[in-house]
Amino acid sequence: MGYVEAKGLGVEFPVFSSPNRSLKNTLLNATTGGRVAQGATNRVSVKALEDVSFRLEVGDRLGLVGHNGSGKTTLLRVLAGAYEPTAGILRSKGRTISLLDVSMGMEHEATGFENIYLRGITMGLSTKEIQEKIEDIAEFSELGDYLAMPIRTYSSGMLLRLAFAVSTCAQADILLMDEWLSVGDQAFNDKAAIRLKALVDNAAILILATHSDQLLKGVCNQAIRMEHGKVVDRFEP
Amino acid sequence: MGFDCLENVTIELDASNRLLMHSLTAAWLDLKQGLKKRVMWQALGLQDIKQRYRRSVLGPFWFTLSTAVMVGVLGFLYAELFHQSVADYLPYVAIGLVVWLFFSSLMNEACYVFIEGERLIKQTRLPLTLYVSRMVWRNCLIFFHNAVIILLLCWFLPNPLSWALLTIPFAVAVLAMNGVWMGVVLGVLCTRFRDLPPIVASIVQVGFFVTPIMWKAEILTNRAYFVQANPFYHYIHLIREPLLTGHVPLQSWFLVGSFTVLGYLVALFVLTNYRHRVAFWV
Repeated sequence: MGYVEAKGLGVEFPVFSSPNRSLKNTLLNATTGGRVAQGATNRVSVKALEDVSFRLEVGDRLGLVGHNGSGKTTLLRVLAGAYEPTAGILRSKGRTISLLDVSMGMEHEATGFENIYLRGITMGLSTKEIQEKIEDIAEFSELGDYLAMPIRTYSSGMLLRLAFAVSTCAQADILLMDEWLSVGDQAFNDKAAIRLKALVDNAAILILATHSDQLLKGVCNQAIRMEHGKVVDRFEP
Repeated sequence: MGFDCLENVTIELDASNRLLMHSLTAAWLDLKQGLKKRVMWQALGLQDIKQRYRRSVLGPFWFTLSTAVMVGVLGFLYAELFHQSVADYLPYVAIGLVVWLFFSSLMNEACYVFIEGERLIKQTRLPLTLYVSRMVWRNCLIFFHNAVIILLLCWFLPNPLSWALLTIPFAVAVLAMNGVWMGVVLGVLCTRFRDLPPIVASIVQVGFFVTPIMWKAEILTNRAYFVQANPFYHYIHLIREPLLTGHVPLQSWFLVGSFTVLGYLVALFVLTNYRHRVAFWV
């Protein structure tokens, strides 16, 4: 079960600089018919995505390739449900987990345990689910007693370990990833790779934005090349 | 149409389908689910409090202590200035200040609910109202700490014990509910127009002086309408009046009730029209 369908998906968003973010200009503009405060009407908007269509069924592994700023991350954010499309239709079914920013929702002054809870909550896990998984997370991250300390005392590698362990604790139907996650030292990295592989293999659908050809060939069974927010090529890696 | 990424939901977003009914339903769901996700906003709100007072010995009781010092100093000083008895004036100021602190920080922090939540908003699909409930809950927790002062004062000073006291929990709940619509409305507007938060802050500051908190409404015998026309007054009155006199201020309840209904209608309007833009604005 599970599918993702995009039909003519487009996202266009305004970029506000201080002149047109200001209330004064908008008000001036309303009262003067747009002659004085031109800054408010000449708003710059960016077409981050234009006419993107695809349909993914169970077992599909879609790779997104393209230069920086080609719209890969925007597309992932739309698929995660954070951005609503300004054109086209998005339909998806299944529990979606996005690993776009693994340390999302973590607080520096809070302890490791508190952060497991916070991150779990923001992922949408219930308290009970988190409690069931906490042992697994603690064991996997190998942080031991450090979990009772505030995470600001952690090294960046330890921080990533914790974030990775929590983010990957729940199984998803639709998994969104921005580059393959690599964590910490060699020994842990191997362990993490196995865990991530299992998560990817068990997910019904994977959508992965990447710059690496090797990864694309290894993981994905179809790919889209994007340029300036448009799909320019579809190919089998 | 749902907000739980982890529940087995079907997301269907159709940009061409921005019909009023559709957007209105989405706005309604946002409000409903944002309030329903209690575990989530309680955890996040509590975290905000912990964040402020980590590594301090007294922790959140600093709220209580600093408010108590303010109430004490201002109570004695102004009782002298206004030639009032301390026993009469102190509880008046204490209740007024504690409720005002609650209400004014609801308004001030309403401006930043989405700006603060930027990181989450850009990555996940959660109801916008959730970020508002988090802010309201955080301020409720602070209010509970400050309310200790009122409880202590009422314990030591002769106050009428009456059935009217039973309305106070409802009054607190109504204030919090008003925080929710203010958070939605101000939150969305302030995310779009970054000049608004200072404007709101100055309105709140002026509000403190024109509202009978430090002074009593009876002083303005000839200009009672000045007090009556001030919405802030009625919000404070809901809690202060039953505590001090044992009366339920029906007129204030009626007015605050109307503000609440109106406020939620405005919040629905704002969510209907701008909910899907907020992620691009933050």
